[in-house]
Amino acid sequence: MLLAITNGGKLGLGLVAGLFIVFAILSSFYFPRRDPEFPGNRLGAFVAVAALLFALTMGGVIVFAAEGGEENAAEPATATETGGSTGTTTEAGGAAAGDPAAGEAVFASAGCGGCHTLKAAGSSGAVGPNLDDAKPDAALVVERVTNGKSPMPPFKGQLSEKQIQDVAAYVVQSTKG
Amino acid sequence: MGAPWQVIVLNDDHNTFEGVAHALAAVLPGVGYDQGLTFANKIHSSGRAVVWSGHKEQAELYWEQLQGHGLTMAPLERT
Repeated sequence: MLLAITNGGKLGLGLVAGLFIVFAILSSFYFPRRDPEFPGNRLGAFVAVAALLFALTMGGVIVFAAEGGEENAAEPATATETGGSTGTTTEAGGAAAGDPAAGEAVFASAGCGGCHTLKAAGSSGAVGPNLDDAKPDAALVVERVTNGKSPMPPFKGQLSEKQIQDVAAYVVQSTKG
Repeated sequence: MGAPWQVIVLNDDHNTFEGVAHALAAVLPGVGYDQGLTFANKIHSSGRAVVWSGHKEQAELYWEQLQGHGLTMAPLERT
């Protein structure tokens, strides 16, 4: 979390928080030593300053940390956009939001090619349907990979939903492109 | 995640289509008699058919059970 905050954000947050800490230490140790009655009749001002510093610190957390958060969130957002833009074929095939490039790796590691022929992957398995011929849409691939259909095993639990979306996007792109 | 293991039934000259279909339907989850017959046809025409795939331990169990039903089994294969 802290690493996600920008350097400028860290500096700003540090300054505001530091100010609050200095104020707290002074109020606890220094001022009472000089004036045992502290804050005396200026209690209202003391509470106001404390409230102001508290609000500034919380505001700083929201502003600076949110900045970092947005940057952090920018990566997956970019990936989604990429999936969306390169996935024009995907959308046509069934509105999968997967990333075909990532799906290629899933196709290889999950052993899909052992049973399915897919020219793009260089596979020639003959147990299940030839994907180049079947040209399944993304929804069908997601359904079959998730739940299986004998003799194809369900991959739910072994592959994440994202991986299944990715491999569906890859199959659709490879067979309709 | 590794590639699934395949349970493969081989063609032979002593099991009937119906016997194979019954055995497959009795052992494999989600496989009924009709799909068993489809597998039996494939075994007959192709010489072999993958009838189930998935985790190794389950594959071993189904392999043994199908062999217990008298089917001719190929060794487990990994895709």
